[in-house]
Amino acid sequence: MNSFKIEGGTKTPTVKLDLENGTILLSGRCIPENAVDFYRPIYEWLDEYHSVAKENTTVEIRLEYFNTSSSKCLLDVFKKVEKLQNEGLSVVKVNWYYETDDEDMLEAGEDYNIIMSIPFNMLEVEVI
Amino acid sequence: MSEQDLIFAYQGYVDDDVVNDILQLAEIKLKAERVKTSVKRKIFRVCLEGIQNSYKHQNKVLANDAEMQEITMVIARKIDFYELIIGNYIWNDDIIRLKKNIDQINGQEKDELRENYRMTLNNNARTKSGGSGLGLMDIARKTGERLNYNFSGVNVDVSYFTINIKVNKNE
Repeated sequence: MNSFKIEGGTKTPTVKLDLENGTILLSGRCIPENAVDFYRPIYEWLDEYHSVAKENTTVEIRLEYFNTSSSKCLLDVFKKVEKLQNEGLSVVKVNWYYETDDEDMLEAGEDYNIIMSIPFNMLEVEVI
Repeated sequence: MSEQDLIFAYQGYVDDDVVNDILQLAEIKLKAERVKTSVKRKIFRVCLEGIQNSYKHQNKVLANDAEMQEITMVIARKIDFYELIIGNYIWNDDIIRLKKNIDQINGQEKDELRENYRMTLNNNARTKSGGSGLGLMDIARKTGERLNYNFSGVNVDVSYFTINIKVNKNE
């Protein structure tokens, strides 16, 4: 298994799945009409990562926009890493970035935090 | 609506490229508006959900009649708020279900809506059209406003559905 990268586009985010450091990064925009297709390789990578998980796993979400189609897909990403934690395979945390004044993005992060049992750090930044 | 109020308006044929173009142009137009970034972002998010929602449902009607491939997207500037109008054709058989859905959203207080949003988000099912079932809820949550709607009969099978959304300038 290797690290995995997807270059960002106008409707899809940059994705970096780093096996060495156990980091999962999504940054940019995630607004494709059919998000499920986009997320498929990410799920496959996470399923493989399950058997080789690092001691610590960090999910970095630096999204400017994401649509509701992507919101369920993001939840599935969190559920996959939550499973690592529940099975004692890795200590997991999510860093959720939002721009100053972007209440919608902060609330979205809070919603995931309420649903999930893994810790979410809400990180306010000037520019995402 | 005077022309000065109009920021963006489109009514016509729709496909993947048109949706992309509309969003891109709307974003450029919004950049020039003299309001807080948070308001611009909110308008863009509503456009995004609204148009993707319309397009998805449009496809279902389109399959039956090529003349019905039309959507509407309007952004207008008012004194205290921005007005967005989004429209698409809809099967008459779907009106009751959609009306019930919107009325239910409109009847919920902020916290209740947020809780229902989380429940729907955490529900594994997707809708028949492959959607998340969150689009209209998301719009109502982000704007904190009622979703005003209209169904205008076209023929025995089809109506034109428009939704009218306010985004306050002082968000």
